[in-house]
Amino acid sequence: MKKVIGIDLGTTYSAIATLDDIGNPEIIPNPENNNKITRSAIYIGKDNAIVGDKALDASVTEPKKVAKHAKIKMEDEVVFSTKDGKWIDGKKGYTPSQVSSLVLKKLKDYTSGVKKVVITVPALFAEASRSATLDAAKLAGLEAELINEPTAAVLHYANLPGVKLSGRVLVFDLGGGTFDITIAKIKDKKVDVITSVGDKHLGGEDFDKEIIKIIDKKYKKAKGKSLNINDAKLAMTAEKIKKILSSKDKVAEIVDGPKGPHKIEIKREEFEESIDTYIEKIKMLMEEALERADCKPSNISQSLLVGGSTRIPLVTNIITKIMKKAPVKGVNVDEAVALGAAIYAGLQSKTDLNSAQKKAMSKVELNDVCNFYMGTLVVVADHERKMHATANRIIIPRDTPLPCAETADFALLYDGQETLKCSVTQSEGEEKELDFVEIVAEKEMKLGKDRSEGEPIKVTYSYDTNGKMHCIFEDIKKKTKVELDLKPEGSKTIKELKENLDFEIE
Amino acid sequence: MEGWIIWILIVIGFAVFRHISQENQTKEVIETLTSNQLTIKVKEEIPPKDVGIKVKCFGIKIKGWIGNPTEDQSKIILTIYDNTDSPDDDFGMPVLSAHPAFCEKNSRVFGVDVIWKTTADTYLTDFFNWIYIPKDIILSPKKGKRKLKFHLTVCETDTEVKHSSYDDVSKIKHHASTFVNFNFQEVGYMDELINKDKVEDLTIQLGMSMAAADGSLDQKELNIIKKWAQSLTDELEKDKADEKKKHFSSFIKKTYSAVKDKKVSLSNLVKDFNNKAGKGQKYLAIQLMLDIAGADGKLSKEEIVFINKIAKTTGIDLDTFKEMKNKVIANVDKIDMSESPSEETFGITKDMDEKEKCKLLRKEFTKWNNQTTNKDPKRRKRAKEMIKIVAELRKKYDC
Repeated sequence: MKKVIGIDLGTTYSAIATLDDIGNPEIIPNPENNNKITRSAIYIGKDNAIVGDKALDASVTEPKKVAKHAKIKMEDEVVFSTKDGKWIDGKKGYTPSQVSSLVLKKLKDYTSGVKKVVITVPALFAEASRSATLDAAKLAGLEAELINEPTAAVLHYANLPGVKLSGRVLVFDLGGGTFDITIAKIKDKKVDVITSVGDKHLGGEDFDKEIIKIIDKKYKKAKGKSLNINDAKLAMTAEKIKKILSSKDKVAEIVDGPKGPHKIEIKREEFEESIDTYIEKIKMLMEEALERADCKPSNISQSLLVGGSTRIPLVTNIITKIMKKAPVKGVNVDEAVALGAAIYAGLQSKTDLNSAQKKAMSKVELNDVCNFYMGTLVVVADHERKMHATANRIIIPRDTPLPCAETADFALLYDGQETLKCSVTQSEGEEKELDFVEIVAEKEMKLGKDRSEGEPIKVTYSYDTNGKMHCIFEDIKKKTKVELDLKPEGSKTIKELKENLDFEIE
Repeated sequence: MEGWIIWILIVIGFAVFRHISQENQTKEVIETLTSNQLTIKVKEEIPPKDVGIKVKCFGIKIKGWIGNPTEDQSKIILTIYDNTDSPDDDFGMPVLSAHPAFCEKNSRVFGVDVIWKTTADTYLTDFFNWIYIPKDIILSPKKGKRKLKFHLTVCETDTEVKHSSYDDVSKIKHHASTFVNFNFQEVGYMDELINKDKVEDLTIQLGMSMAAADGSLDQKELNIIKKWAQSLTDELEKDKADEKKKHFSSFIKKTYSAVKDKKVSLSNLVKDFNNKAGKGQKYLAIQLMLDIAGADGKLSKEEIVFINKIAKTTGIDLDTFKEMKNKVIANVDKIDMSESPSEETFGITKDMDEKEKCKLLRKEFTKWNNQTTNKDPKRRKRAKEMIKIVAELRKKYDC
């Protein structure tokens, strides 16, 4: 029997889960140390790579060889340079997909026979990032499907034995590098996602950086010289301080610097003050999520926490203040996403399940939404500005329940038009301006000669539950079509992906 | 003898009476016919909810004969003329439409037509609400109080109307007109033509003033103005283009000195511009100013304040302006926030209460947060900066 596997590929930590014999999700620990979560850090040596805590340890002595935060670089055309020790523009180095593939390979090796997996991604990961994640899976020898992190988490919560959830819930997912909020409707084990909002650059790592700034300021005041704020050891100290401040009011740590060691004391209030800009962003995203779901805090029955950074007391206080109710506690916030991904993997491969697992999955149902506005570019008369301009026209609005199919009618612009540019756009906001949308697919349609203004063009977008989108641009008169497919299958070949990657994992 | 006279008088009296009586009868017939003729009534109103238009409209109501003796259907056509300077039975200049749904085919001239199934003697006994025309979409030839003639015709179905003129008036089976006085706040399309040269000069003056808003007027900014002026000559014949280029060169030079010596009264300039420029011309001027503001790769606080002020006085749609401004903000390398997080950048004004400010900032946050995944790294960087500013301002207002 094939294994049902879910992977939480996180910015700072990753985890792998499966379904046990009776269909309950469980984390597969690292056989080397029995840890349930693995550091998403990779030491890239000349002939080998080390993934996990050991890689982070290596960063103290060889900081330039340790790649981190590959996940939040997925959308960028950057590489990790072991010469510079950072992500740089250019081609000499390791792409985010290559670095992430090493984490996936490591997780894959925690158990045997892993071929097909479900990998989680932030809800608002754009096409490029999703594609890069799938490239990483391909490179790790995995056949992957994606699920949004908060959606996976809500699946886990809905399937928790002894926890009765119903009505609208708010999933608050604050991880190491990304932040998502999802509002979903739960009835028994049926989950209907209503909306997701997020910030791909907000997480525990940002809080660590603020602590580093406090440490540096205090060290400079006492010793008259600044610390190296990019020092890996200092980053580890900051993370340690952050964790302690989640349970204690103050913490003291010895910090080594250019003028010798110095004891630094940080109070919780100082830390909270330093992250208040991030907290404001969190508040705004909560407001946005509620507005998108067209509900008030009183309409939300429970707030569910996911991600290590939700352990910070200020974060829970903010949620309690806005929602006027304390969030649900009691689950391991580091594992919820991977466990939910395993449930989704079970849902997706029911033929691979035994009868007990099938029974456990029988009542589980998930209905997701389209996380972006999908549109096309058209020329419109701007009556306000009295001019013609290229504008984005939405075909599938964000938060439309999946599967869906939407059609829009357009017309040829002028007599004698010979070609038509068929473009598919993606945007988080309801954007009209070309400058604020991404063109995710494009193809030209040949119209032929003697065409007249106003002849109809029909555009149909259909989006299935697996995130595959099919777009048809139809010339009604000539009965010809241009079809564009957006499939989450990764964009590169194995050969392209393997460039530079000439070592084995240790 | 007296008897004869009396008799003659009686006969004459009877004849007169009969004549009067016959005349009254004819009048009655005419009146009956008139009351069944095609009639048009125009009422200024907000349409009922099911129409789906929420703005004030001209509601067109029709009554009377709409039949066509030669076909089993009729084409109903509505045209509007500006009859302020023409006699009532004449047809003045046509009005234009800002919306294609109310335009003649391939033209901006106002014109609406519809084909109805009719018989030879079809008539509407009561006023029928035919169509609602949003008042804002009608563009008159001139600004101010104008007398509009609404002309309704019932015609043969192959009737064509171009620039409000009928291809063949014999195809008209019934017609009716009515007049409405309307005050147009916007500069008319004829005004725009008459003022064109003046508005171009005023736009250059505004552009120069914008360039000088941050205290310096550099070559990059000047080049934007020159390029804009040159674009106005692109479609002219060579002689005219050369003449215009000569004018612009000297005018730009003259304006440069005037702006540098602070001899341009901005209030007078804006007043003059607003009185003479049409909406499209206003947007072009604002776009030019935004391009100038972003020419040096940075957007200073003074530039933002200046442009916000001008945009507000022109009466253009502020949401459209915001979109135009955001495009510039997204593309410049730097926004000057040297003093404090700039409320002006987001259009926060003193008359807003804290709640309004918080809501506006949240909307700005959403806008820029959506841009944090843009493919362009410069755009992403800018989005992150904008989000930081929004968050700082929200803290300031204790949102």
